[in-house]
Amino acid sequence: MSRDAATIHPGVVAEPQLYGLLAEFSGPQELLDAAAKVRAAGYSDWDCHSPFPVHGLDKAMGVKPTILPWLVLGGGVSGIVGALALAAFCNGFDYPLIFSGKPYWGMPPHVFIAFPAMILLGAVTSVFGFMALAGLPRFYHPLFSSKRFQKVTDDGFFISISAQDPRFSVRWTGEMLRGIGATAIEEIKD
Amino acid sequence: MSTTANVKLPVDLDNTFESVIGESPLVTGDASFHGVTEVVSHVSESRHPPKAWYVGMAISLSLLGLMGVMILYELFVGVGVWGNNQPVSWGFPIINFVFWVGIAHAGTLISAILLLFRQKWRTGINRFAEATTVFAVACAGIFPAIHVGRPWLAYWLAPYPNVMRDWPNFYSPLLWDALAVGTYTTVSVLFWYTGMIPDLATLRDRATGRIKQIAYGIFSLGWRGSAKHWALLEKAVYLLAALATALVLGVSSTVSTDFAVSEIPAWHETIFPPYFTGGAIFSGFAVVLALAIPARELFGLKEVITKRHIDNLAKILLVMSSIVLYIYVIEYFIAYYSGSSFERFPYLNRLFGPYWWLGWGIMFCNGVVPQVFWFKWARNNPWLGVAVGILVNMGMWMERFTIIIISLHRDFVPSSWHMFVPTYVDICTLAGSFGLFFTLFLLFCRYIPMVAMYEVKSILPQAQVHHHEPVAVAGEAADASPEAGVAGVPTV
Amino acid sequence: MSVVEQSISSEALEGTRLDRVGPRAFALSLGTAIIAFALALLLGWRQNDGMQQFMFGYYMAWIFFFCIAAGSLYFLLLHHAFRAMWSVVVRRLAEAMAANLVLMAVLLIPILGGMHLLFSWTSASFMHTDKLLVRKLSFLNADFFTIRCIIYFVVLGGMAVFLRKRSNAQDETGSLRPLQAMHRMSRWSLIVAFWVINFVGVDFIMAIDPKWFSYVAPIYFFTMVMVSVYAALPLFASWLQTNGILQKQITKEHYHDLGKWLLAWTLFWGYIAFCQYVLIWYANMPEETGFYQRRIMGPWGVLAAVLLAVHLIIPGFGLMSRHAKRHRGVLTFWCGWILMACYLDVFWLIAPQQYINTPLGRTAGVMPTDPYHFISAAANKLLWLPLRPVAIEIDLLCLLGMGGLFLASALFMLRGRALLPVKDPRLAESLAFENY
Repeated sequence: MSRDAATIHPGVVAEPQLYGLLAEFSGPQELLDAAAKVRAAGYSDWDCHSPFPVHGLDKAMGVKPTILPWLVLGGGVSGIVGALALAAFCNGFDYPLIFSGKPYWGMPPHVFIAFPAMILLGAVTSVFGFMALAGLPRFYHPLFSSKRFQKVTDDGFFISISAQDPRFSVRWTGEMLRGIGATAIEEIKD
Repeated sequence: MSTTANVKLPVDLDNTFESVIGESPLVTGDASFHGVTEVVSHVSESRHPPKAWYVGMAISLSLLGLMGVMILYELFVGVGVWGNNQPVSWGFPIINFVFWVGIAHAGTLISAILLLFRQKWRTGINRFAEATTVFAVACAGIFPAIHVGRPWLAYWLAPYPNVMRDWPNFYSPLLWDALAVGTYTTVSVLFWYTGMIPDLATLRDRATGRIKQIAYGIFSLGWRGSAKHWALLEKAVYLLAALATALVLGVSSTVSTDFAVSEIPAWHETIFPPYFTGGAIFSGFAVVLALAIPARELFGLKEVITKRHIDNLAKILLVMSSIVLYIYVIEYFIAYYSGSSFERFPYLNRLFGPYWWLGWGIMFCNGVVPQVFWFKWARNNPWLGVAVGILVNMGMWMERFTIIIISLHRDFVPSSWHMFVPTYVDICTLAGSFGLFFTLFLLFCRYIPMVAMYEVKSILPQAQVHHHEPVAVAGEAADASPEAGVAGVPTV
Repeated sequence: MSVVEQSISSEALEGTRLDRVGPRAFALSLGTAIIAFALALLLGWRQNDGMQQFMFGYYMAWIFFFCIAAGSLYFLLLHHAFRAMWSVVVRRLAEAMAANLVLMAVLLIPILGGMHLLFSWTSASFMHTDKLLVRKLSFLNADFFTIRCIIYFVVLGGMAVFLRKRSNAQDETGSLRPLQAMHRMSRWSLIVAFWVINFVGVDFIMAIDPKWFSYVAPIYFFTMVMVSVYAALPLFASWLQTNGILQKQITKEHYHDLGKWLLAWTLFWGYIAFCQYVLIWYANMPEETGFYQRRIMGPWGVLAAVLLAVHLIIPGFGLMSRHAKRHRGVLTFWCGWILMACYLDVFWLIAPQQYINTPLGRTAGVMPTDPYHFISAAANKLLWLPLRPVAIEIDLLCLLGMGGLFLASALFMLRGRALLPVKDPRLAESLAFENY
């Protein structure tokens, strides 16, 4: 059955849907060059995969800067404010005590409360913010069905283009990927 | 350069030579991407670990058991089984606590500060050093818990509404300690784990058994090397590094306030926060050096932990030793400069009192011995490195003994002076904590990638790529657009 | 020794000499210095206090510029010892400022002459009022102080002159030998210079209040030194670029790294300052607390709060952003800001002592107050204002004069030389340096 028929009668189709195309490249430089070209060709729903962070790849792909630092800043600030408020409430307001002739609420020692609270909340935000923004954990992904794709954690460099992309077409996209230096191209079924 | 190009270098290449131009390679042997994966994954994939691993495990487990017995004994009988007395009310547990917290610092320093300093050689040892951090913090955490005598009441430290309607004292350094060490544990584990996700995915993709696949699969969170994820991961790790750098300063500084906010001479010193931090980093690096050398021999990691890594570690040890020596000497100087006999006495007591051999011993072990690393032959001799690492750690333990015991045992009033003698329970618990550390460490060596593979790959020469400005490729890309594709080129 | 050939185009080395700018700026700064010092002397003489006000102004300005010069030396030592690549393009500027240690040694002579106006430990009658002070006479006495000053400047000045000479030799011969000599020398000098700078801190900061001692005070001074240089160096570079020099060579990448170090040292300064303050605050021991008591009460307390804000909190947030460090204008602004804060730090540490040293100040300076009571603090402030001899203009004129001399001397050191180490084997790499 053709792809067009599948879109007309979605319920009837039994065969797996096409997730997209996976193209392998021979090295980081090739991947970087190819990524710039895929971007220039106007694709939007695609990704690069590499065994290590390739510097400049996000720039070549046009990935927007992440908001993670702002989240972490928010986490850190709320840590400071929360800790100071807690200390002020406990020792200064709810059960005031004089310790070694110090004022009820003295700033210098409370730095030792605010500081770790800032780091703790900042760090936790950083890790869970990363997971949330990256959509991890995600244990199933169509790409994992490819045997070839297992190399991505060893020495394989890939570009995947989703079939959802408005510019996607098996023939033309495959053509383009071959044209920009893919050494192998695979159709990935969902 | 493509990944298929194999750069074969001799495994034992001497890459420590110093040149004013360029850098020598940081990975020897098969320095291809796949080569790095093989060398590191091999450790956890081989059928049996080396024999020495079993021997080490047997010794560590027995020591761990000994520690368990000693702690149970102490819990049943009471803290009287230790050598603590009046005026030395803080004995071995606090010494051991400060000692282990100190060791923890090297991992954070290597991963965080060297990352910010763009020290590429860090990649070979950071995973390994972070592991020592996590395990050393675990050892450290035990001691304050048992020192309070009733560890099941530890939750009293937390500010929770209770029937007595009171709150913890936020002015107390002991509370700050609990917060700092708790934060340190959490952040170290998070930092360690976040940086490990891609490598766990490597083990997942290579795993043959079902159990391994599932276990590594769960912990690698479904990592698929996506560039967007890499950008996020790098940002998250960078932020964690910045936070952890601040934390390195914060934790030992907080530990030092246990002593420094008091009025006891040789405890109340404004230099204590940087002093404890410096000493902590020093002892941590010594541990990393002493462990890295046998580990690279034992597990065949000489290709990624090269002679240059050892050379650099030795140099850092030398720098830290010089800093620690500075602090020792400036302490004596300021005590003299103060003109106060109470400030001067504990220092004279260190050098000429009943514990004189400790006062001189720390100078020798921490200040003098590492100075041998001024010489290249010493840095390049691995077994000398292990010996210095061990001596420094003995010295650093003695330093904590000196600070805590010697300052306490002779206070303001001579009639209350008293000697401190540890009991067998003290000594066995200390020995047992090494059992805990090495048990965890050996398990780590066997089941977790000991070297950050993806980071090592990213510093290989063939990983250095350059992005051309998009303007330059726009013209070419037009040819690859769908319209151009129709023009009769063979289809897939 | 081999000569390393580099592929640096002659275009890349355009505008690397002072040329016409040099003599003009030299004359201007020297002229400013002469006028400013003349005015300061005149105003100081009119104070009718035996030139004490002038001496304090001069002393504070001297410390401020000593920090920059010594910091430049330490910058060079650090970057040689760790073989930093990125900083090669600013090396010559740091060399010129480090060579100013010779100038600072000459400018120290008036301070040695006017010692009795600055240091209360020079007064035997004062030192014999307290048992703790008497014990300090073995260290704090005029002869030993002079000997120490000579040692400090022989060591630091010698290092700076050595580095400058080797660097010149490298330009002339293009051989690697001078660079290797600098590398070798930096390793041990790093430790020696650290010790010397710390002891300068003991003598020039800690001993200003003879009774006070703090174990971390020498390191506090060291952080002052390091903050100063990472603020002064980008400022100097930026000023040269405004005048059309080094425009192509120093890029935002270099400013970015200098900015990172500036932020790091600023935060480290805050860390050390906090450690010192909180431990003394907490233990509250009379021989230590007095120092801070005199500096956080009355009008000085306002200054302390301002210092905390302008030296740590505001620039800490201001420099946090990547964009602030990569934008020359913004970074220059923060460098100027932090240098000002550095002077404020010196002022806050030294100036209160002047009023304490006078008989009037001795009574006012130890006046017991309740620091937590806002009203009494405000009343104190009002009471103190008329007691303070207001002569801030003398301090500022001294600062201006010393700055003129400093800049003139730095320009003199750079005359007729390329402002880049043109034959350095890592120059090409440094020119093309990029942060990632």
